[in-house]
Amino acid sequence: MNGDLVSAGAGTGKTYTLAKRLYEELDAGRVRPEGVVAFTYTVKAARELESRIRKRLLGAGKVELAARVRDGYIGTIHAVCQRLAREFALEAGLSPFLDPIPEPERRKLLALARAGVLRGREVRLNELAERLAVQDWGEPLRKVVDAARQNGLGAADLRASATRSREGLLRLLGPATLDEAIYLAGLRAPLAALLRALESDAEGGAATARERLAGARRLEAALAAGRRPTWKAQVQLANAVDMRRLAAAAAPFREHVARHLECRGFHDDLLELQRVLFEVAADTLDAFAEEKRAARVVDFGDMLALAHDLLGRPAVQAALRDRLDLVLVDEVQDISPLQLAVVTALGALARKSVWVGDRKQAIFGFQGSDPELMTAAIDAVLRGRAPEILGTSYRSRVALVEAASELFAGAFAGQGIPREQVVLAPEKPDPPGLAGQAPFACWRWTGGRPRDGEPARSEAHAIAEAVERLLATEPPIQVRERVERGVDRLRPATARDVAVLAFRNGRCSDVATALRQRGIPARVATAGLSETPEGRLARAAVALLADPRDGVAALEVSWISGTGASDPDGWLSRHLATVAAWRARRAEAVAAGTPAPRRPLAFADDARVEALRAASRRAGALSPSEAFDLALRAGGLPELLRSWPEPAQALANLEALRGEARVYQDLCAARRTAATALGLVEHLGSLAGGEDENADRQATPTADDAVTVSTWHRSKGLEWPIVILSDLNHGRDRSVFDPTTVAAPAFDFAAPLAGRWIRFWPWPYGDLSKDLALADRAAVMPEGVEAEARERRERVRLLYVGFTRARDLLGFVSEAGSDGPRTKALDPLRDGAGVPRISIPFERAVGLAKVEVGKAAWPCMVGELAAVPPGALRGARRPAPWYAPGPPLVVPPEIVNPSGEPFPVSATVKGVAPLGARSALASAPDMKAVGDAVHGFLAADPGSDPASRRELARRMLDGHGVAAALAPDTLLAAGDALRAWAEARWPGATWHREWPLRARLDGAPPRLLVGEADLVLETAHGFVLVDHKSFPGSAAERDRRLVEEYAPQLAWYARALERALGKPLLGAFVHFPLRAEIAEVGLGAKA
Amino acid sequence: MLQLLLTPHDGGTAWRHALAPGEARAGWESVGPYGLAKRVGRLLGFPAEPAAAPERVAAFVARLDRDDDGKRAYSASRQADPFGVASFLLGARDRLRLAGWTGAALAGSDRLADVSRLEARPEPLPPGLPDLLARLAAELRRAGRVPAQIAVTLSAPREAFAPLVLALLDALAAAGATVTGATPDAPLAPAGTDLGRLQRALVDPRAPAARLSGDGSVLLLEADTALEAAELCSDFLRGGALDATTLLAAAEPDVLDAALVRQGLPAVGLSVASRLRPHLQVLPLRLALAFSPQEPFRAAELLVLPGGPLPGFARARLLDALGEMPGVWSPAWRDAVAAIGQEAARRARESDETEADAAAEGARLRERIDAWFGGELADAGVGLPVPRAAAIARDVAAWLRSRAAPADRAARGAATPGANGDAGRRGGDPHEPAERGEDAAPWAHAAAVARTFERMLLSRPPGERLRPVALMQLHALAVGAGSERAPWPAQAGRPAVALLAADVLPGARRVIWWGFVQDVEVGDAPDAWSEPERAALAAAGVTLPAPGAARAVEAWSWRRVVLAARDGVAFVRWRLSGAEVLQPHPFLDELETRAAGGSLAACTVGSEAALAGRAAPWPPRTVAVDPARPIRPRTLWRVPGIALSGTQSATQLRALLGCPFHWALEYAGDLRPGRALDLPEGSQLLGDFAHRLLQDLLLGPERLSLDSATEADARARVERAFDARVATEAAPLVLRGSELERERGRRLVGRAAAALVRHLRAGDWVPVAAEQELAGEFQGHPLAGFADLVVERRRDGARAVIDLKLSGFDYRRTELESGRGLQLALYASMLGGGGGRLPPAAYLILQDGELLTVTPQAFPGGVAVEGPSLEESLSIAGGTLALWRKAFEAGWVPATMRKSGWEDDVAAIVGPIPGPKDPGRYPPQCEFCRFTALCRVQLGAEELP
Ligand code: SF4
Repeated sequence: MNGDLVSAGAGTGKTYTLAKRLYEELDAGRVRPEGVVAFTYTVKAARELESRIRKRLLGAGKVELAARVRDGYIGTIHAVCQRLAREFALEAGLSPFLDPIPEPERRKLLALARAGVLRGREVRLNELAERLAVQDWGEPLRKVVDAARQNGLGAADLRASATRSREGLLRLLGPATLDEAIYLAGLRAPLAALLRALESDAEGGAATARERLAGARRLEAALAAGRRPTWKAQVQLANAVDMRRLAAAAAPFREHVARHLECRGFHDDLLELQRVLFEVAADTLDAFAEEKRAARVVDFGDMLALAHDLLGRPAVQAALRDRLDLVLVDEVQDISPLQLAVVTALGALARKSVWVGDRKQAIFGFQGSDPELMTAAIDAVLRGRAPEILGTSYRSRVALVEAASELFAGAFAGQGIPREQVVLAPEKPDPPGLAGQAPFACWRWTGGRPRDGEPARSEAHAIAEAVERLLATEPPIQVRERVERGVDRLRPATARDVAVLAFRNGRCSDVATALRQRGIPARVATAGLSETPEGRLARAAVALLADPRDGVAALEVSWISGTGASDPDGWLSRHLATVAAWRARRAEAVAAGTPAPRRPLAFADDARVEALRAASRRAGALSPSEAFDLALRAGGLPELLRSWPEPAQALANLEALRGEARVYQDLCAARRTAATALGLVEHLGSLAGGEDENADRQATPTADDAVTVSTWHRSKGLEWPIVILSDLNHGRDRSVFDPTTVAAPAFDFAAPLAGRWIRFWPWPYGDLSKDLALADRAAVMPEGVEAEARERRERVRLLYVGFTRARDLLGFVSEAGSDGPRTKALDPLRDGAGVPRISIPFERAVGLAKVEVGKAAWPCMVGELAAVPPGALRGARRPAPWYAPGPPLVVPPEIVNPSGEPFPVSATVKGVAPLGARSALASAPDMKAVGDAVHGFLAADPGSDPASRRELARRMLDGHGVAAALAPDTLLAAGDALRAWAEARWPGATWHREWPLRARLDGAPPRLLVGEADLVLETAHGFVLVDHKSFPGSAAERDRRLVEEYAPQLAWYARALERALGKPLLGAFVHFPLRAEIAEVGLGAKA
Repeated sequence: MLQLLLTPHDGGTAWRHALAPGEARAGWESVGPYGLAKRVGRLLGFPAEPAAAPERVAAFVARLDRDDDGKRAYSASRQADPFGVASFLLGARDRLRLAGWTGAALAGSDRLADVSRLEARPEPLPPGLPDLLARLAAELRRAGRVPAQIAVTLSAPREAFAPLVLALLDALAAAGATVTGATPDAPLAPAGTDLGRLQRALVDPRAPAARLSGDGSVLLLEADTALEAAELCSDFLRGGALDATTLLAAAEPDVLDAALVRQGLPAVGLSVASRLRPHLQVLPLRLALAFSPQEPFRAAELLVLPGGPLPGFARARLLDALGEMPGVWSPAWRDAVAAIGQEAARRARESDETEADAAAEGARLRERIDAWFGGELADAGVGLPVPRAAAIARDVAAWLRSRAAPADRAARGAATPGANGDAGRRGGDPHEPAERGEDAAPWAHAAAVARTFERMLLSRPPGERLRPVALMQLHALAVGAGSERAPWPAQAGRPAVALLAADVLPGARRVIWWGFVQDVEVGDAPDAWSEPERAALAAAGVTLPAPGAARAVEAWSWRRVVLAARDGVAFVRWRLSGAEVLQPHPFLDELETRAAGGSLAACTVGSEAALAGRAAPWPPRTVAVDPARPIRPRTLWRVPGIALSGTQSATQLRALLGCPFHWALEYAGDLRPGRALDLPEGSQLLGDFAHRLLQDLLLGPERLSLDSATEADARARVERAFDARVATEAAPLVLRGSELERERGRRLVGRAAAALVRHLRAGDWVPVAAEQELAGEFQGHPLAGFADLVVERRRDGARAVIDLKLSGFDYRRTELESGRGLQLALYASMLGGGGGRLPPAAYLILQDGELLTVTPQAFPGGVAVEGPSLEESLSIAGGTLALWRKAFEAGWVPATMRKSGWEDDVAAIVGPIPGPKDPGRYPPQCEFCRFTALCRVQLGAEELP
């Protein structure tokens, strides 16, 4: 592979560089737009890259090249793979209309596959899981299956992984020297002694003492009943009694429990669970593939495997070798092993590859990317060359660039990343206006239990308070705003300039809530859409639309829309009174033996509820998402939501809900099930708490002046003037006992996936994690050392991402503990001796202090926060403007329906002339088809050459499927008669057959006439209008139709023709070819 | 003289601006390629209607059937998607034909060879547009002259038309017609305006970029959501000159219409196609029910489908039956069918029909149910025989037609003329539902789809069987894009409409691009032909477009939108689609590049700013919406007049004791949920089924003899019954993927049966009744309920109640320990006739096979729970009930989700409230409550007034 690597640190203008590089290649003609493959990490990044390239080309006047950019393969790796799979569908034996199934359907098929695989195995699995305190064995199973798919591993690979995992687990456990029966028998005496001690300890003692006693009793009961207690229960109790006052009684018990590690039963449990889970995982992979084959679908993950498979085929390689010029990979550090395999396979076909990324920002290990593998791949691409390094930060002010460079140069040294790939130079000095403004800020808050009557303190409230103070600082905090490339101006910070980063989604939601409680709008990618007030209201509205008798939906619509807000008791009382009155009437009717009154509809006095009920009559023909839109309209939700706090958020969520309606439809289509409004109501109701992390997400309004709250992970690639790093007490969350992909000892570029396998050692103690000998043992094994190092490396990278997001001000919030600030998250930034590389002055006096890294220091504002919720907001919100409604418009349709709309004409039948003999029709033909054939013939009848006329007639009758109904000669005769009739009366007239008419009619409102006159005979003095009608019926019916149905059309057309030709109507006729007659219609003005 | 204005596509009314107000033209029309073919066909006397796509695909499938020897390039894909592959190859064939391929043999690749071999097959292929164009061009060449004077003017550059269209134009010209190319786009707006400047910059890429001042002649209107963007756009359009405006409706036309109508403007009335209209779902659901096992969920969907095939009362009754026993043809279903027949007869009698006619009416309805849900079932793994599938399609089509007929009559008079116009041509009051008189169209369309589907099936070999997936793939082809529907009529006074950018015609005063967002107005990537294929095609005379040629036309069409306007152009975009960010249309890149130094920003109007009174060059018409009053969960309601009346059930009383507010809403307020699709599943399904199996085991017609049967017998017997009945009574358990659940359920029921027998024996009990209706009173209130199992002791004839619970051993034990075993106590009280000592009672937890009781002496072997006696439990409950009654009398109703906020107020009136750990304090059942909206929703952080 002919490849380059660009190492792009945070804020170094990566996208700019990418676009520039691509532009240069296109401009120089070295690369064709259609020959570009550019992989980006997100859809948004793909659009942005495409847009930048296009703009550059357009800016240079390369309009044609710019237009062609769209034909390149620019997108996420999945999207590009999907396109390849479609283009080569026939080669791959796939449906050409390949669409990955939606996630819920994928999960359903996987569950189907798993259900089959688990038959006969589940009971044993449950027993093992119970013994090993594995809450949900589905979780490790899912992780193993997912890892296998991300690494392109099949069932056989998983079986091999099982063997290797077993070997590791055996090493961890050591020899089993103790029979379980002996072990359990030996447990009884020390437990009995311990129990006695615990009983006296618990007497009048604290709740924890009672809990210890209960634990011991449960253990004893299990032993007495001959049951095997869980390993966790034993270890938990042993740890719980590790205290001085119980030492004597607890020691024998603790010593004995410590021996469970040698117990054969313990080993067997672990090894069996490991074996069964791997077996199930391997079989599930096979069964899932079969399930998808049977359903004729593919899933999102298959796209990569399919593309990878395709790229191995010579025919595909040959086709692509012609087409591909350049493979560009953005965020290369974050791609998964299978993605790497696709990228390298494509790279081998293209003339050149450019990989752009930053190893320091590889933070998606938990999603299956493998930074170690990528490092090896990158080294292989470089083949000893140095990467191109982008060394200038265009993002942050000087102090922030310096601090991050210094801090992380040290922290990354241990990862083998040379200093020059870490240290950046600021683009330019700070503007003078920022001179007096500290680049750092830190705040502390003190947690602990609230005293009586005090509100609970929390970091979320602390952060909200910090933001509130920041935005209220006098003089205001200044931030830089880029006017154009290289030119900044200063302006006061507002909410939109601030971002708060936390590690966990839940914490983000808490922070957003706390901000909103202070009246500060917050923008957060958060779940819980369906439980927002707008989510509930919209769902209730569509439920009411689907079933107007739904009383609960009526209640929800009425309550949430605020009908009862001013007098809730009165609101509910009225409803209850209505029901009571109905019950009384019903009782009377029953007593009197008369029909019972109908049950009243709930909240019928609420106009919104009634509007929805009225609209339900219109919902019968609608698709679910149309019904949803109708519910929004009929319920007046957009207007209503304007009156709510944070209307932009509420309206954006309405759009998110519309999106969910579309998702529901897609799901139904993928499942090939019915899609109904009721089904949509169910779907919306099932979003909360579902497994799909992409579902139930709230939308983020874009235009609000709002603080952004984001996870550290999601902040990657983004920047804000002010960033507050929080959740600093968050610790590690992965261990050697998690399913882990293990790489081959050496990287082989030709086969990047070769030699990879999955290690899984079950963890036997459930949620226990402290003071466990097994964990200690694992930690010193090579696997444990490696896992710990890996985790630490990734955490350093995540810290790098967080520390480099701010342009002008970087803040930290931490809880002040009794032993110092709680900043466990920063532990990976300690040096080899355990000394923190960065010192943040959380404990200094409020005011100005310094952040220090090594010998360098920068100013930092220090603050202290109460961290309590604010009181309720005082003062009413202001009215919100919304677009004014208009009076209903009652106007006719734009296009006139000439045969259906009355025309002010008094029509008369002036006379009916015979044109020959009536033709015979075969019984009951399709009269419309007969009419079309007759019209078709008369429109094209050349009038001479009988052979070609007969041929024409036959073609028309055949073409309209009425050859059996009518003889060709009938048409010929009709044509002859008409011609003879017309030429006798208006000799020399110009014949216009099937003549289009278009008119913009005068008057208000303006209307259009769109029609076609069958025959217009134009003379010097005027025109004659003839309409053909294939009506074959009675004379009386003919005359009725002439006056009531045909005359208005003739009148409309005559009016348009008079305008168009500037000549008068000489006569209006209806020609009945099947009746062989022609009728003249008088079109006098109506009195 | 016939004058044709040829646009790249058919449809729309953008041509309107070619006519002055009040002007009429004869012999003039605007046509797209189809319109052109139709017109030329008329002149030459050739019917030029292309066949419907599904018919053509079906015919092509027949060709593939004959051609596929398993070794073709397409053979493997055909296994995965036979009809999709046919549609794909036919599409490729049509594109090649449009590009000038005459059907000659092709080399270059296997797939090209396949396409050309398929072309040569004798099986007929109904004509598509390329076939018509080719035929007409050939006919013109043969005739040598056009039969009338024709002048065709192109509205777009020649590249915007397919080579075959151009070939027809060339043939027309050669036969004497005048064909004139399009005038190159030129600036129409004055040079002193933003629009004029932008037009000049766009026309000439070398010209300097335009500096835009924000004079309002170029606007980029934005909002987060389409709903808000539509309001913004409508407000802008309210400025007038609608009839001099062209609207390019690129996305979400119905959303724009909704806003237009709300603001009192004429609706544009564009229709939207959907495959998911209820009418189109009748047939697939009926087909799904032709397979075994029949999925009860599919049956329920058919029953709730609006306008579905049975009368409302029958649907409701059948839905209830599915809720009781989710299985089509379960005993509950059969009972329902019988009852429906009787009800139909009763109704007939009420409308004065004779007894015989009434009976016949009932029988007819039963037959109808049978026809829709019955019939021979096919194994899903084997497939449905094609003739049977076709027969189903025919029957459904007939019903759909009959369904359409009455509505059709109602809709008569709204006929639409056939001409070159857009789809929506209805009129009238937009606030009146357009649907009212129009029910016929969707039903008729669905009938046509069903007929097409039938024809497609009949073209298959009769011995073929189609599995559900293949059947649905074929059905999807028959449905195509679905049925069209415009929510509003196209009203007089609306703007002229262009359906695609290329069809915008110069001359309008304003052009609006509604839906200026990513992925609309953007064509697919071109066919990826390899070099050898390109060479082979070129040799066969096929004009493949040069790389980027299609994109160049596309880019031209985007520019056309700006260049066509005389006074102003506006692009309207929204920034969100669902919860995702939606990017603007790629043309924005060109606009930004051709506007100097970011000056497009001066033309950008965000709705947020417009509403705030900033930034819009027109004065938006707004109203001030008052802030909604805050809504907070309330813990105490003041609602006088609530009283405990009528007969109560144990469930009702439990709800009341836990949360008076819950009880007040559900029972006093009679607030019930609506229809739902939630058939029992999971533990509810298994629990119901297990109840019936165990009850029948002990008391059914083939009951177990407790004298002789062993626990193993009980287990075996109930497992056999499980196997025999599961498909009809708990059908979800026999569906694929439920194997594990079924296995678990079967094991559970077997174990429970053994345990039941063991426990009965141990206590010397014999069962005497299942689901026995009991009545009594509690604290002076009438009480009723059904006991799962009533048993009698052999030795003394004493009676007891056993309540069966699927699971929840710990929960029930705690309940009994704390004296809150209300249900057991109430049943015991009703069984005992009230007063005195209550008969024994126990819960049997089926999952564990354990019997829980506070009267262990009656149930030796059961788990003895140390807790208050049943009498004490009743008395505890009575105390709480008395408190709430007093509260009701005083007009107070507490909602007890929160532990504080109501106690003091209520206690002040009714006396001390039991503490949270007190037995009398029943916890509220919020997790099962439907009224959480009142207890959870909070709106606004401000102080309550
Ligand atoms: S949600 Fe809870 S507190 Fe509210 S009404 Fe229902 S049961 Fe009562």
